[in-house]
Amino acid sequence: MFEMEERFYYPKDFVETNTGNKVNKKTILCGSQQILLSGKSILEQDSVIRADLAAVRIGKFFVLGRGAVLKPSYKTLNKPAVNTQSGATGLNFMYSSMNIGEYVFVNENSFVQASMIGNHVYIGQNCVVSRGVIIRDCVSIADNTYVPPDTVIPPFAVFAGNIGTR
Amino acid sequence: MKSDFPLFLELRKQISPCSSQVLVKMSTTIPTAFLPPFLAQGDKVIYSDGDVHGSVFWLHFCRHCKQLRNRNGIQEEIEVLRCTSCSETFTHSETSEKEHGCPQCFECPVCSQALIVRSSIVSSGEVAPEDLSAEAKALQEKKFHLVCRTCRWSTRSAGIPDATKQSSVVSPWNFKPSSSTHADVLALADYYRGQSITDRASMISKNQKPKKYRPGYPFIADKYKLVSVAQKRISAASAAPPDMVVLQARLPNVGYLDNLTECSDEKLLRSVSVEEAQKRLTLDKRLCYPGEQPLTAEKLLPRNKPLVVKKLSRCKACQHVMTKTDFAAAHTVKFKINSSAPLLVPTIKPCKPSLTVGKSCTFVVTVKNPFVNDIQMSFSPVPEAEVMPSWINGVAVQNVELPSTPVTILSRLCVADEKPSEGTGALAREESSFVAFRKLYTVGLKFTCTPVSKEMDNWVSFMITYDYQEVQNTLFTSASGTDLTNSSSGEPKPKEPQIQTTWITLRVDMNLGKAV
Repeated sequence: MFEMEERFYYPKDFVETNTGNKVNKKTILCGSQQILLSGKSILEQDSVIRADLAAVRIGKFFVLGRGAVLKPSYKTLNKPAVNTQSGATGLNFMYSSMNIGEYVFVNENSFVQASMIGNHVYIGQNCVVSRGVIIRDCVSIADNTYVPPDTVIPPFAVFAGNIGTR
Repeated sequence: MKSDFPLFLELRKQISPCSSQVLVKMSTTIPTAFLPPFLAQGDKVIYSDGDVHGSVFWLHFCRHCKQLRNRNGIQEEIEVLRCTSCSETFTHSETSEKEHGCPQCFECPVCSQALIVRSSIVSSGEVAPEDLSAEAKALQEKKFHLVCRTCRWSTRSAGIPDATKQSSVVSPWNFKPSSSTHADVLALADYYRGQSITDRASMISKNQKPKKYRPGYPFIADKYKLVSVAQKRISAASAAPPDMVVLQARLPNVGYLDNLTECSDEKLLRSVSVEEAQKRLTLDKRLCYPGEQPLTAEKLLPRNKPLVVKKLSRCKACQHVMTKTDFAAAHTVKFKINSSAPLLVPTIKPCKPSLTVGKSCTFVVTVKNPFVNDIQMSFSPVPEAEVMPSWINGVAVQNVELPSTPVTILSRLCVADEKPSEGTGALAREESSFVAFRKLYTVGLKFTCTPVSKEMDNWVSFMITYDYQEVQNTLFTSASGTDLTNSSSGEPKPKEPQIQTTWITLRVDMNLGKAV
């Protein structure tokens, strides 16, 4: 159904780690201490991982396409946040860690803010996966799909459309 | 991904539903697409022992039968199931109803981490927090809820009511979705359980037939008044044991079975096109589809923490334990007993030779000793009567020259800095013709052969014989029962351990590749 086609790359554009991860030099990694790449993953040019907000744990054989963004999901809390100096109140939200399984392929220009992604998942181009989404194993999200917040995508599902449905 | 589902179905079919043991039978040939690259290349060295053949990394060696075993010769059992969260152990029968999940621990539906129990004091009336009187305490109630430490999901956010009692034995929460057929299934299960008890009771009563009394010597029996005693004993034996209770199980009334209508022959016997048949759901796929599926994360319920399985594998021939795992921290696997072939059979590996058709070539073969004692290994050609095995896809080479004398390979305990003993120096001089190098417990041997084919793989076949030493532990007392203690000092003298040596012969086929 989806298999990354073979393509050539310039080794000088990538940094290859001992575990086989290939990270493009133009990738934006925020909070790199909280990024856990299990191995044999590819992070393409202009992709962004916002691990400064919360930990991002990624399994093996993960591909992050060009321009794709990985951002941890957040949850709003009941108690409002209070600024101790000015006394102003605002929304109180908390970022939680993001867990991604193995053999996940996030295609170009997608924005992913899911809380959990299972194994063998394909996310197409220009997709928006909102906060709190739970994607189970062997799921395919078609191109140009919008997945609403807090959606649960069951295993072996094909999700498409704007707003996305099974 | 698209080929994962058929393999999953194939493995599901091979799980046999035994009550006490679950035998998981893996298929012998795993498709190449699922193997890691170093295993998908194909076996370069194949060991054969009778009908068993394969790479040394895929075989086991039974220490009792002294033979190689492949996956067909081994049966796997579930020894015990353990929860990683609370470290409790369970048997298979205890957890079969709970879908092999821990009855006390739960998993967060969002991030799959373990949930922890938190308590809070809730007062039913208006009570000041500083009030410590007995009346105030009576109005307060301790309630428990589940919370995830990583993503802060809690049962309160999902709308699940708090539990009032908390027990270390039985969890107060039951998150299984209620279904209309659940009660019917439980009733049917109880009926069949009662039916099995009834069948067992009837089998026992059939086996215990009352013995017919045959008076062989009635005058003696009458003289000593044994007839009445014997009759009393027989009548007591024919009665059922007091513990046996015969149940009369009743088939439950399942309402929806009464409303079934018969299908007409037209519907049952009509022809179906191939396309239509492919679109229809098979029974396996229908059973895999869940009954209820939540659409949003709020409706997700926690599930019982999956249990870690401690497996045991036995030799089918002698029923001795081959492999026994142990629970270990993190993702390592420790073994209490490990009969994998690489630990009990010397590993042979050919170095990549440069082959030319028709020309004699010499290549080095490394042999590693897996034992803690020195071994003697000898090489001999394959008997001419033996035909090329069918699993070898290639051609046999010609003019094979093997090491003529037995080779001594040092044990794994030898240290690099140790000075070589006098014996090893003499050994090296004798074997210099076919020994390329020696490195700790590895020896490189020179083999010579003439490759035959450019299109097909060239195979070298030979027999190896090595000594397998077993240490037998002995007790302090001798077999005759006499005490071996030293009478003067009063301390027991331990006997020296006896070493039993068995010579094992295996056939080895090596793939050298294609010649130039």
